[in-house]
This record gives sequence, structure tokens and C-alpha cells, in this order.
Amino acid sequence: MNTSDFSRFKKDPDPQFADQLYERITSRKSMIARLNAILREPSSLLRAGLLLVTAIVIVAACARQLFAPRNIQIGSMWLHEMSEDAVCGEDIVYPNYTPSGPMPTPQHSHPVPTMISLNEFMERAPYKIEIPTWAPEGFVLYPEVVVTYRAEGTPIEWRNSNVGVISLWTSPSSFWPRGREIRAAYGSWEEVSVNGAPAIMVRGTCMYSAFSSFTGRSESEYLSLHWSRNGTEYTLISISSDIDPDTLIHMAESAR
Amino acid sequence: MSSTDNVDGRQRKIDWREVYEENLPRIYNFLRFRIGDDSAAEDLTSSTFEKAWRNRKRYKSQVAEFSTWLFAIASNLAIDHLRKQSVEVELSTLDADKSSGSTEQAVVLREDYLRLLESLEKLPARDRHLFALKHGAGLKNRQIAKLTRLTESNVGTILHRVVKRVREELGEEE
Repeated sequence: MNTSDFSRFKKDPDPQFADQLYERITSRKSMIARLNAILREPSSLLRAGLLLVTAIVIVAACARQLFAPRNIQIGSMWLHEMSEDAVCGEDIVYPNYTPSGPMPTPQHSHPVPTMISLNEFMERAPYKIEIPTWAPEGFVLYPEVVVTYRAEGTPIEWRNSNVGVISLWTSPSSFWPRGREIRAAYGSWEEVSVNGAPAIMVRGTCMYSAFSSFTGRSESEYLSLHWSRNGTEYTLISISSDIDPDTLIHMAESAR
Repeated sequence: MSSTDNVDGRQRKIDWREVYEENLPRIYNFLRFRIGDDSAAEDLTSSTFEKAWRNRKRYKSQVAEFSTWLFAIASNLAIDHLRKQSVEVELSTLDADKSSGSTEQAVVLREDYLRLLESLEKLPARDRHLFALKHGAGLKNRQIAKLTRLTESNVGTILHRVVKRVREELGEEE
């Protein structure tokens, strides 16, 4: 072999390889330039727009699912967790309902409340009602009740010398065949117990419209305790900010 | 396509097309001689120019000529490639030279090329590196010296010894 000229072993690069390599390396653009090119191209812009809309829809659906009202069963009750505004929404009213009368079909209306004595109410009630035998200092059992024709029943009240009110609402469990629904805003409730039975404690600043007729205020701070016992549904509501949850539970557990 | 480069405060334009066409065959053949695998040489040639293009704004002409900079990139890529390979490529896997004329000429050329690569394999890495730069890329001793940080005199001495050894391996024909 003639070794004086090693150049004969050289080989020219394939022309197609050479052209493609040059084209490839010189067509590379900066990220910004690529992005601009994408945005300028109509089909790419449309594609990007569709992807963005799809992403927004998916995120909105997930957010809706995440913050959708939840139903949680606690004992025989159903806690319906929702936004604070929803808790302050319209209430269901049952017209022509008296403690001894038949259960009417739910309708949305607001009849005029009727006042009767506590004794008459206790005699006419078609279901067993256990009344707390203990109340916080300063609160006195009111001798009259107001029949409000509401699904929660007729309230029995304890009042103090200020505008503080503690109301006991009762209704037969048979009135709620699928379990009584308690509405509470996110994070405003906790599960507690009354004499060992599951109960729900709710703290809020929005009230059902019926309460405002007693306090004269459209909104008040309230603490409500809900439980079931011996075929009767109970709700003890304090509209005075002086009552703490343990006091309310103690009052509820004194019911006989 | 061109870009500018500062040389002593003056701007000098680099014609990338011209630079590419001038250096592509030199880089390619350097890598063929250095690695002994045409396919890998093609890949590394692509990598060399891609890397050079990506870093073209960092090229300082006052430090080195453009071709020297290209060969520095190619040399490093070759070293990395050989390190990963750990063994030299099987010479039997080399493709036949399709650019030659008659079939007989192509066979002879291929056989001679394979014998050359076999003898180059026996050389130390540095010696083969210098041989590839000189006879593969066609660089001058001065350029090789800048690339390898040897003196020009050393480069000449080493290359003379390498060529002598390769001739002894292959047997010089009259």
C-alpha cells in the first residue's frame, strides 16, 4: 500500500446529510421566536385556544366538584354542608300545622304565627318532648309558645333580661323518613354527643328568617345543637353570644 | 447566514455557510480516522456543528481561529464517545465505500482503509488523535499545535514517528 498519501482514504460527507444538517442547525430558533411563530400561525393559535378553553372547563368542573355541597350522615341526621350564603336561603314552611294536627305537604309560604301556652302545647303534642331541666343563669323558661308552622316544630324558649334567647325546637322523627337535614356552612360545624348520642354543633352568623321575628335582627350570631332521642328530633339554639358549646350541651343533656 | 464577532473592537462577520462548507468534510474525516466508524463519525459531526451553532455567540475570535474552535469541540466529542464505547468499533462492521469507481477498486480501497484503521488502533490515543487531525482533517502542524497545546515542533516529531510506525505496520509499496 502506498502510504505517502493517506488522503485517498478520505470521504466526502453524503450531500443529503450535509444539506439536512445545515438546514436543521440554522433553522433552530430561540424559544421566544418559536413561541411567536406559534402564535402567528392561525391553526396553532386556534389549537392553543381550544386547549386553553378545555383546561379552564376541566379546572372549573373540578373546583365545582370540590366545593359542591356535601351530605354527611351523623346518627339519624344528615348534615348538608354548603356555602354560607346558601344557609341563609329560603326555608321550607308547613302551613296549617298545629301540634295535634295532621302533617301537611311542604310548601313555601309564611303564615302568621299563633301563640298558645306551653302547657297546652305539651298536652297537644302528638309526640314525646323532653324539656331541659337546667338552663344557664339568668335564663327563664317562657310560659308561652309560638306555633310557627315550620318543619322544625314549635320553639320552647328560655329568655334572659337582655335579648338573649335559647330556643328548643322539636319534631317527630317520623316527619323525616330519610333523616333530618341540618344545613351548615363549610367549617362551621362539628360532631359532638348528647348523652352519648351523636349530635351536631353549628356556629354561624346567619339565621333562618323565622328567628328574626323574635330578635328583631335579620342576622345574629347563633349556636345550635341538633340531636335525636326516643323518636323526637331536637334543636337547641342559642342566639346569645354568651353561651358556649359546653353549656349548650349541658342544657341539652338535662332534658327529661 | 452570518453573525458578527468582535475583534479588537471591530465587528467581523462570520459567514456560517462558508464556514460550514469548508469545515464539514474536514471534521467528518477527522472523526472517521479518529473513531474508525463512519456512522458514528456522521453522528458526531452533527453534534459538533449543532453545538457550535448553539454556542456561536460565545466564540471569541481573539482566542482561536474558528476551525480550531470547531476541532476542539469535535475532539472532545470523540474522546467522550470512545470513553463510552470502551472498546474500539469492530472493523468488520464498517460499510463499504460507495463513492469509489469500479467494484475492484472499491474492494481494494476498503481493504487498505481497514488495514490503516487496524494499525491506527494499535497507536496510543494521542498519536492517533494527531494522525487524524493531520491526515483526516488536513490541518497544518501549527493548527494542530494550537488545538493540542503542544509545540509545533513536538507535533511534527510525533507525526513523523506515527507515520513511520504506520508504514512499518502496513509495509510501504514501491
